[in-house]
Amino acid sequence: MSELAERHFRRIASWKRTVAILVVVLAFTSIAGLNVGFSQIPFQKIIAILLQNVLNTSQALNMPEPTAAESAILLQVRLPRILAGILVGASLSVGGVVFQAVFRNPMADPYVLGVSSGAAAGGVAAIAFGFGTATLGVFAVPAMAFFGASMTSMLVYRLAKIGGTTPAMTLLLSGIAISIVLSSFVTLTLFFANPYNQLQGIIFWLIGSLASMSWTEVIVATPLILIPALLINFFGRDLNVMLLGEEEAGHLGVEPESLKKIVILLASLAVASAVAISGIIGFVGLIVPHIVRLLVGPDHRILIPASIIGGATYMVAFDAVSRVIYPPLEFPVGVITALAGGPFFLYLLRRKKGSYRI
Amino acid sequence: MVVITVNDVDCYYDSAKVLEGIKLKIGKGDFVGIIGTNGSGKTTLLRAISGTLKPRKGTVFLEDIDVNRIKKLELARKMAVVPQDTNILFDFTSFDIVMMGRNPHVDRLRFESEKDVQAVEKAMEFTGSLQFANRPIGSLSAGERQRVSIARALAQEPEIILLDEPTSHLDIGFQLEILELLLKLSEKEKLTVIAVFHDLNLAAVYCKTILLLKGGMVMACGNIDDVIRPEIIRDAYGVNVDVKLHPLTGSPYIVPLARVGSRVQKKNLKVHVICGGGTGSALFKTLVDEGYDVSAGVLSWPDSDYEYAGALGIDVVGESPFCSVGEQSSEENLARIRDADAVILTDMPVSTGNIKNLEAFKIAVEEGKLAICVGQTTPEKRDFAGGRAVQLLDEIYRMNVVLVNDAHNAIKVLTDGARWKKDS
Repeated sequence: MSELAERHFRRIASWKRTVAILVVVLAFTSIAGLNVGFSQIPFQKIIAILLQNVLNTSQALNMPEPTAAESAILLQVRLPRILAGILVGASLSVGGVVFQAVFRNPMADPYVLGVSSGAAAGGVAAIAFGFGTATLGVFAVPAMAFFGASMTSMLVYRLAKIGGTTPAMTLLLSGIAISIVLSSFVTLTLFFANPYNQLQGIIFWLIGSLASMSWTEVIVATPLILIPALLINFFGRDLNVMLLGEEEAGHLGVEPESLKKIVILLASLAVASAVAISGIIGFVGLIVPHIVRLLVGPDHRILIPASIIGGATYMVAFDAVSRVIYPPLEFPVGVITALAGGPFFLYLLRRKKGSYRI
Repeated sequence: MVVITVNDVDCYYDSAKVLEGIKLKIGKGDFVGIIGTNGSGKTTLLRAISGTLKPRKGTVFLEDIDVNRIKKLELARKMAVVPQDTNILFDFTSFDIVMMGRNPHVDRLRFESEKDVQAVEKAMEFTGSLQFANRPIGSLSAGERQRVSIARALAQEPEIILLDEPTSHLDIGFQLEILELLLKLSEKEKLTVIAVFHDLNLAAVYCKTILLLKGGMVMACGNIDDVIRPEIIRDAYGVNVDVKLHPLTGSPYIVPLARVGSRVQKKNLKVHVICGGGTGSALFKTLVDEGYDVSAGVLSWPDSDYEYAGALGIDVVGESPFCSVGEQSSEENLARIRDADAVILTDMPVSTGNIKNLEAFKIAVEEGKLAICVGQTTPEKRDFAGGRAVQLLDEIYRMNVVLVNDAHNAIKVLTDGARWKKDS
C-alpha cells in the first residue's frame, strides 16, 4: 500500500479513537458537573449514588453512605440538568455544523440565523396561547418549537440566497432581522401571559438556562434530539461535497436541493427540541464546530460526531461555570455563552484570510 | 456511437436568451472544443450539457435519456465537470478534494476502499498534483488548484468530461501536458472530452471537432480546417488573422494581425516597400496601422513578407518561388514605385535573385523620391550576390536617402516628409 493510502486509512482509523477520547472527556466533565454547585457532593458519594440508583447495584466497596438529601439533589436536580446540558449542547453544535455547511458560511449558527428565536416563538405560542396542547400534550411545546425553527431556517435561507450562494452579509442581516422580529413576538406575549403560571416560563425562553430541569423534559427531548443528531451522521460525505458549492456538489452525485431539505429539517428538529427545554442559548453552534475543526479537521464524517460530543461537553462545562462563578447565585448559562461567543463571532467576522473566505 | 445529443436547445438566464437553437451530436471518444467570444454562451452550453441548467426549449440527451431526468448520482458516474475555478470553505487537503471525486462510487454507509485511493493517486499522478497531495487546498496557486480540479474529475472515472477553460491558469508546460493527457484518454480509453477554449491555437492542435459560438448560436461546427479559417474567425472575433499550418504538427495556427475596422485616419499617402526574407512584415503592420497606402515588391510567394502583405491587404508584386525577379514583375514594381510618394528599403538579404529590387530602389532615389533605408544590418552581412549588393548600397548611401534604425523612426521621417511635400 502506498504512503498516501496508509496515511488515509490511518486517519480514518484515528477517528474512532478521537470519538472515544471525547466520550471520556464528556464523562469526566459530567461528573465534575454533578460535583459542583451550592452544596458540594463528594465524588465518592456521586459514584455511590449513581451505582445504587442507575445500575441498581447494592452498596459496593467501602463508599461513604450518601445522605437522603444528597441523593435527592443529585438524582432530581443535578442529573437531569447535566443530561439536559448534554442534549442542548449536542443539538446546538450539530445545528451549527449543518448550517455552516449548507449555507457555505462559517458564521452560520442556529442563534445567529434566528432559528433559535423561531423555535422560541413557536414554543411560546404553545405555552401562552395553548396551540396544540390539546392534541399533542407534552409534545406540544417541542412540536411548535420545531415548526417555528424549520420555518425560520427556510425563510432565512430564501432571503439570504443570491445566485447559488448565501453571502455572509445577506445571511447575517436576514438572520438578525428575523431573530429580532421573533424575539419581539416572544416579548409581546409577556403582556398577555398569565403572571402567576406563565410569565416566568416565557422569560426563561428569552434568557436561556438549564436551571429547574426536570426528568420529564429530559425524557421528552432525548429522542427528539438524539435521533436527528445521529441521522445527520449519515450525510457527512455529502456535506463535505456541498462545501464546494451546490453546482459542483451536483456534478459529484449529490442532489443539493433534497440534501439541504433533509439536513436542515433534521437540524431544526434537534435545535427546536433543545430550545424547547432550555430557551435561547446563543453562539454555542458557532463556537463548537470551529474549535472541533481545529482539533479534528474539516471532514464532516468526524466533525459531526466530534461536535455532538464536544458540544455536549462545552455546554455541561459552561453550565457548571455558571453555577460556581458567584455562589449562591447562579447565572443563566445563556448569558455566559453569549459573553464568550460574542467576541469570537466578531473575531470570525474580521478574519478574512485563509480558507474562511466569506 | 453518439453519447451526447443537443437537440435544438434554447437557454435563458431570467429573461435573457443565452443560447438559441443549439444542435449538436457528440460521439464516444470525441475531443470537442467550444470556442467563441466572451459572452457567446460557451459556459452556458457546458452547463446545459451537464444538466445544471435546464433548457427552456429542447433537450440534451445522454445516450438516449434526458440529462435532466437522470439522478445526479447516476450522472456523476458517467460525467465529470471541471469548473473554471474551485473554491472550498475550510481547509481540506488536495487529496481530500480529489477523493471527493470518488463520492459517486462510494456507498453512503462505507468509507473509501483501497481501490478508491488508487484511483485518486493515479489521477493526481497524471495531473502532476501528487507532490502537493497533503497540502491544504487554500495554500495552492490557481494553476495548482486547477490541476487538483482536473484530477478530481479524472478520479471520478467518467465516460465524458466537460472542462471550462481547463488550462487558463496553467503555464505552457502544464497546458500541453494536461491536453496531451486528455487526448490520450480520448484515443485510448474512449473518454469523450468537451472543453471550452480561449486559446484557439491550443484548440486547433488537440480538438477533433470545433464548435464556434457567436451570440448564443452555432456559427460554425466541424473539423478544425473547416472552422479555423481567416474569414470565419474574422466574423466571430472581429480580428484579422492569418491562419498558417504549424510546420511540425501540421495543424492550423492563428496569427492575429489587426482588429477589423480599427479607426485609422487614412493619410492618402502612398508608400512602396522593398523588402524580403521577413524584414518587411513589422514595417507593413506599422505603416498600415498609421493609415498609409502601402504597396510592396517584388516578393516571391513562399516569403513570409509576401504572406503578411497579402493578409494585411497590401498591393504586392509577386514572383514565382525560387526564381529571379523577372522582367515583367520588375516593370510592375517600378510602376508602383513611380506611383508612390515615398519608397522604403529594408535591410533585406540580397542575392542575384532579387538584386533587381535594389536597382529599382536606386532608380527611385535617382528620380528624387523620398527614400528611406530602414534597418541595422550592415551591407556586408546581407550581401549574397558576391559584392554587388555592397557596391550598390554604397552608391545609394552617397545619394539623397534617409537612414533610420527602425520602423518607428521611418514613420517620423514620413510624417516630416509629408509636411515638407505640402510646403513645397
